[in-house]
Amino acid sequence: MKLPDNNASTAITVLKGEFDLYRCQELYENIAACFEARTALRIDMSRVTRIDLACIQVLLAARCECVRSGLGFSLLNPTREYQHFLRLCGLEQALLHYDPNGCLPPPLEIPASTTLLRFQLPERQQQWHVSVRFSRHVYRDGGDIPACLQQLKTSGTLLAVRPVLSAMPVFSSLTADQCYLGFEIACDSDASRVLIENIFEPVSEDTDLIILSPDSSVREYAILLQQRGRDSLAVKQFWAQTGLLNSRQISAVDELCNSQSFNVLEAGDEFAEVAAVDLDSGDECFVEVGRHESALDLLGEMMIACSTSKLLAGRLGEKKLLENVTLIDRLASQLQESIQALQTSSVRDLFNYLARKGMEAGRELGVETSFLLHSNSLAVNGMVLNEVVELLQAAIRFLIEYSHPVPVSVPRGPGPAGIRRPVCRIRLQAHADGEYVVLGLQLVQQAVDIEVLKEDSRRAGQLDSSVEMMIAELGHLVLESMFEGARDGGHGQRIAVSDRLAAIGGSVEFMSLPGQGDRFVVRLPVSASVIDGLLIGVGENRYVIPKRHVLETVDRMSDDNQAHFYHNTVRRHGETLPLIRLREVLKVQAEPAAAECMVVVECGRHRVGLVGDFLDGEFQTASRPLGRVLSQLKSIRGATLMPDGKVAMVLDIVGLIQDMVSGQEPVIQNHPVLHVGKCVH
Amino acid sequence: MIADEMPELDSEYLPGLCGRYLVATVSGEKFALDSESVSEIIECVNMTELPMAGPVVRGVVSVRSELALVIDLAARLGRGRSGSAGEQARIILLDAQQTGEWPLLGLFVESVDSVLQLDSVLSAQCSRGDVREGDPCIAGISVSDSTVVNLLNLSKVLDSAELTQLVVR
Repeated sequence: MKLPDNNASTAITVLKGEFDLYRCQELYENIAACFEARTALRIDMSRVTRIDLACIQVLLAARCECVRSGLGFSLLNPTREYQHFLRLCGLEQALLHYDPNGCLPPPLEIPASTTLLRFQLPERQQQWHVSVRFSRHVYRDGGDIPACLQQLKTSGTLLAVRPVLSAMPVFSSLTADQCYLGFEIACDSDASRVLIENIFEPVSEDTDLIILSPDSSVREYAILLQQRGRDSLAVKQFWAQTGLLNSRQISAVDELCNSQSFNVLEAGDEFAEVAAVDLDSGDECFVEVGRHESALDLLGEMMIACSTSKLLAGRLGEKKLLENVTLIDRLASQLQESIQALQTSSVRDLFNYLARKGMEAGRELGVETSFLLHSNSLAVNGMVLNEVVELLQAAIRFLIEYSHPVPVSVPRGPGPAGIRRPVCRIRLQAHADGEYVVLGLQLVQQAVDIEVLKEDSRRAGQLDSSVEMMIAELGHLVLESMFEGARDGGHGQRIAVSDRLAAIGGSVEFMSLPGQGDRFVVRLPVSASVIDGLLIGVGENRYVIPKRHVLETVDRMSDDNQAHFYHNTVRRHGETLPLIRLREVLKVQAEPAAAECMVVVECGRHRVGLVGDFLDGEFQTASRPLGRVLSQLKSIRGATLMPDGKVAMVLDIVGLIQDMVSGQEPVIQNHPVLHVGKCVH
Repeated sequence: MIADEMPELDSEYLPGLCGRYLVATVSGEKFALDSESVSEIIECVNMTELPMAGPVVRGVVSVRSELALVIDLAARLGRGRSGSAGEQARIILLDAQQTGEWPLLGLFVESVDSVLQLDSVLSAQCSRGDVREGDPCIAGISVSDSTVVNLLNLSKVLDSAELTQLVVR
């Protein structure tokens, strides 16, 4: 990329080659240099062979900065492909030439006009409105947004595409490889909702997608408007410009939105909305930890490849190569630890979120609620937080609802003279306790109104009126009543609070101490992770295989006609799989079972069969971290508690495959079983 | 000549080590732990063995929903791994301040005998010429009812760096 020369009036930046996610930072830095030099931004696009949305976004931000700073902006010699790309994404108008000394109006925001693509007759009978917002990391996750738009185009007719840039920060605050875009799309299509959803399936994890079908009701439009918050005006303009809704219909939607009885968001929706908001704001606390799993998978594959390379380097006697591969392996391990650490969320952000939700709950209950937040630098695994945030919200709501009202002193309206709304103060604090973070949700100089609680519980049939309440029983009753009507396990049974928390290695307790304010105390494991696992028995013990690695299970290998075994491999479905006999790896001395079982697992490109004694079903659990001592074991990555009180170790699939690769021939194809052509069981 | 080769036991008294100790039997010998460091004593039930971790790690056990790593004290002291858990075998759970890693850490012993007040503790070091020798895991020795009791140096026994090296990779 050629940098501008010192002549500010003629400086042209020439872009060459492909500009994708990996070069967007380079583009950003070069444009930043132009801004530092206070030169107009003139970019020659004639040699750009490919450009993606991440780089276009950088150009968008640069144009906005030019307008803000009074510098000129122009993109010279755009190629046909580039123009087509801009048109597809509705960004033509957004990257128009800007001359601060010219006659064109210098809008600071994207012009209100929308790129309209009319390829068919104006008779539109099957109009869809697709409103989509992307998470910051969609580019890094490999999300190809233009491909989705292109596919949407092939499903019917793209009538209008309007980019939404309300989340775009100023150029100096922009992170080049993060996405700040959304789109409002009008299309004419006979496709079904499912088909349109499937178009965005590749980016589903990073997408907030709302689809309004041709027969959507006013209520559905109102829901969209509420959920788009600060973009609601832009959405209404879009409806008007594209003709999706006429002015009367838009007014009806507006009226419904402003109606006091219109309560769009369920608790689950509110949580989802918060989770999708920009994390940089500092208010939201939930890291989307699912993405870390794919990063860890990639690292696992990298570590396995390093093991193979070390073996080859050793055989070739290449000392330098061996050193470098060892270094890469070590760096990958460190990176793995860093990514695992990223799965944590800060307690301070959690408290900010709970306080906000608590005040909303207080307004709803007619209680003046305030919070004392004791902030600190503690962090908890994000997945663990996701499991308990509903419980914490319910706990706060409970404290607000059942706290004693403060005695009346000062007359203040609205309401009858001399009466003011009850006041509730809640202290949120946290401290570390070994491998746990202990959260305290405490009423300040207040207590739960036990008589009201008893009465409500009797009415709900939870409490026998003849039973005298003991303080110890109060805690149990509080927890039960707090989860009245909470989500169940899908079989008509309520999941006990203690069971849900125990499943992730935590606990909750309600404490009522005279003079100290009633409180909930929640203990959360700092670095436990919740996993779906498959139990496999070896000897007297059971081990957990993370389900995300599992491809297939074979309950009794001797009965399986599809498998042919030869030493440490098995031929199955036309593929030769190496076997790892867990009995050998785990050094189990007990007698082997008469019929063994096998679980085919996959990590990246590697597939192996894990052979054990028996399968024992599926199990969702919290994997507790191993201390420094046991972390030396390559085959184990965590431990968990079984319902019968025994401990099951969580197998480290990556570690097992690494060990196998390190200890065998790297080229499996030369194994004698393939030459023989026939295997003996 | 033989007398010259015999190590000479130090006769140094260690008054700072006097106090109450829990005495347990390991490989036929008596070992004492500072009673302040003992959290509780439990039976060996539902222990998940970890044979791949080597002889020093006896296994892991659940204690009121907490996980405890159980160290075979005989193996740790170099006496070879204890045999299978008999009726009298116990796990001594140690105070969290002693462990610093897992929520709980326990020591597997063949039996727990008694709590004794030891008022006279000798150094367990011995000298062979100019060289002082001794097991660093033993802080001192005492005699109670004609029985020699070895006082454990728990910080050395539970040193995580050493335990880590003893765990089979």
